[in-house]
Amino acid sequence: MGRQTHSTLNSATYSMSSNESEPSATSFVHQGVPESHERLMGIIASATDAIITVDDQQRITVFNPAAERMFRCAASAAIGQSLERFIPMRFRPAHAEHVRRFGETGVTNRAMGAQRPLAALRSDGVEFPVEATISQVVVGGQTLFTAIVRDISERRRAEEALRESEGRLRAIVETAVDSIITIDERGAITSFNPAATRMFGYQPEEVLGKNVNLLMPEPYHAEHDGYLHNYRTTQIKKIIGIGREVIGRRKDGSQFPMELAVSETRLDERRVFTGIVRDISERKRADASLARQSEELARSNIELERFAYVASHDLQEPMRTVRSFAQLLQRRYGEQFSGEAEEFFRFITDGVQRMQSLINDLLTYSRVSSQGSAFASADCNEIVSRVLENLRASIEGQRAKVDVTPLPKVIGDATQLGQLFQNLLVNAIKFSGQRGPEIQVHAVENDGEWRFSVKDNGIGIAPEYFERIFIIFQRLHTIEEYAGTGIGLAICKKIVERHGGRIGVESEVGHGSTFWFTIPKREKARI
Amino acid sequence: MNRPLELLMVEDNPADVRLTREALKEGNISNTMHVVKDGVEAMAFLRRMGIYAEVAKPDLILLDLNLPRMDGREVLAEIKSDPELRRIPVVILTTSRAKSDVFTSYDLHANSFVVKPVDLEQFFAVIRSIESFWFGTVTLPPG
Repeated sequence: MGRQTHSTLNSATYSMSSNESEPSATSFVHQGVPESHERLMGIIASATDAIITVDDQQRITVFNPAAERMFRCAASAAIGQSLERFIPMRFRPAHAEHVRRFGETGVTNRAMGAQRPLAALRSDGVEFPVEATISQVVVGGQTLFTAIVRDISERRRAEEALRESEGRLRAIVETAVDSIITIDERGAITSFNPAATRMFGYQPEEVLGKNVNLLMPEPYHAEHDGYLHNYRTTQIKKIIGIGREVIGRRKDGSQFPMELAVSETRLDERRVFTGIVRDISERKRADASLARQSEELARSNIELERFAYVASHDLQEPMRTVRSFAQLLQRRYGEQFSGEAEEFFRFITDGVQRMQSLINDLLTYSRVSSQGSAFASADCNEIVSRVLENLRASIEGQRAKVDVTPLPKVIGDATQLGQLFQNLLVNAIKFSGQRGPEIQVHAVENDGEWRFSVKDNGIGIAPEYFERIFIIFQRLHTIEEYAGTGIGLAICKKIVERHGGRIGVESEVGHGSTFWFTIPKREKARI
Repeated sequence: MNRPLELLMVEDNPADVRLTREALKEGNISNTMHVVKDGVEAMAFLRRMGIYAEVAKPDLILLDLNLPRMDGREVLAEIKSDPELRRIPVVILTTSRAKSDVFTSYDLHANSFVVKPVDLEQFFAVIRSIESFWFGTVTLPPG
């Protein structure tokens, strides 16, 4: 401590002292005008900017504590050294040139690094960006240069971060599909992104500074200033942070539905409102078309059901007539029938019988949705045992073995669920092939639903028919092979769908079929 | 009762008319069956208007619900609101099983509601049971 280095700066000789690790106290040696010199030294010592003075040989004569910190170099090590030591190698030639020209022009004060980045070199070899002001004074025939150097690493980093975040933001705003428009608190447009240009047909320069209400049709156009005014005075938010559907107006006067979200940002005392606008014409069109379609579907479903119901009712009448008179014919004249007449007659009665089954099944099918009961808790064990009771004759006749594992309670239409189990069991018995039917009724709990299955060891179904068998009137066998109308599984499908479930089959020809269906679990009964 | 019982059938389907005739023929109660094909004719018959000036007042009416011009419900309503006619028992004989039809008919004071069976034997049995009940079991209002 207290090492002194000479310098002939006018009337004072001073040095700044420090130990190697940490810049600290500064001491002065007076040679006159002690007070003002001392004050000056105080300022230099306490400045946050590095203050470095060099002589005309670029040798350092002053190196204040801020410089020590900035360059990681003790004044004692810096003083007397060439300034170049603190200039990165690549700037040294340019620096020398600057110094030469600076001297020639006689300019006494100049800011450096304002036009282009200026870098300095720490004693440990690390470069950092600086801003410097340099001044020259001629003292006693000697030109002294004093540089005030500010480390701008922090600022650079902040600027960099800001630039980056601005760039990111700009990229978002520029490429956004939604229009992004900012306005000031008077409603004047302050920014207008490319999506806004595409959406509204205005170039930014056509709208910047204009009232944003030019993008709105009446009555919004007239009311908008009022909204802003109300908000300024009441602070009650009608749209900010809420978002709503409004109508936009394009440059060509056409209008379109849009979804508008507005956010408010405070910049010092000013407010900026950012509006994000999405053109929802497409969505509106899609919504409308979807609504129309589902309306049509509902209507056509109702019509179809009404048709099926009426058709089956009206078809009953002539069928009844044919059947009754055929029976009357047989009753009165049956004994006179020849063998051929007998055969013809059988075709009539079989045809009538079949027609009657079709009509009844069609009626049942149409009633699934039109005349279903309200959903309630239904115990599938009870339902299935009732069904087995109904089917007892055919189960015993076919020597079928039906194995039922415990089944759950579900929310549904018990009558329809009974019909569902019955149709599946009837099929399992009917399509048993040569073997005695072995049937398993089983249920497992799945995610949010029950999955029921009716498994048989019958003739099975080829995969290409898995879908078809659930379509009304689709049959895989001739009437001679297996009787039936082809409605049973269609009814099953309709019942399952009414309950919000799915139905399907897994099967292999000759290896039996497993018909499964799901019933969603419900908390409570609903209609 | 010595006079033949008078039955009015209001039915537009000739097949059902014929079947009913056949069923009654197999029965053993002596009766006369009159047939009209729609509600307007039925009311004319009951009020003995025009060509029906000379007909007898029926002892029982078999009424179909779905009829041309004036349907069975209207006929029933008129009969049951007419003091001259309302004592005549009216049996609704229809293919409809609809609850609403059953309710409406009884609300309009039908005396019974019978669904036409599909099977011949059952149809005959129903007609005969109507005949035996109304013409054998019950006491009809004296004519």
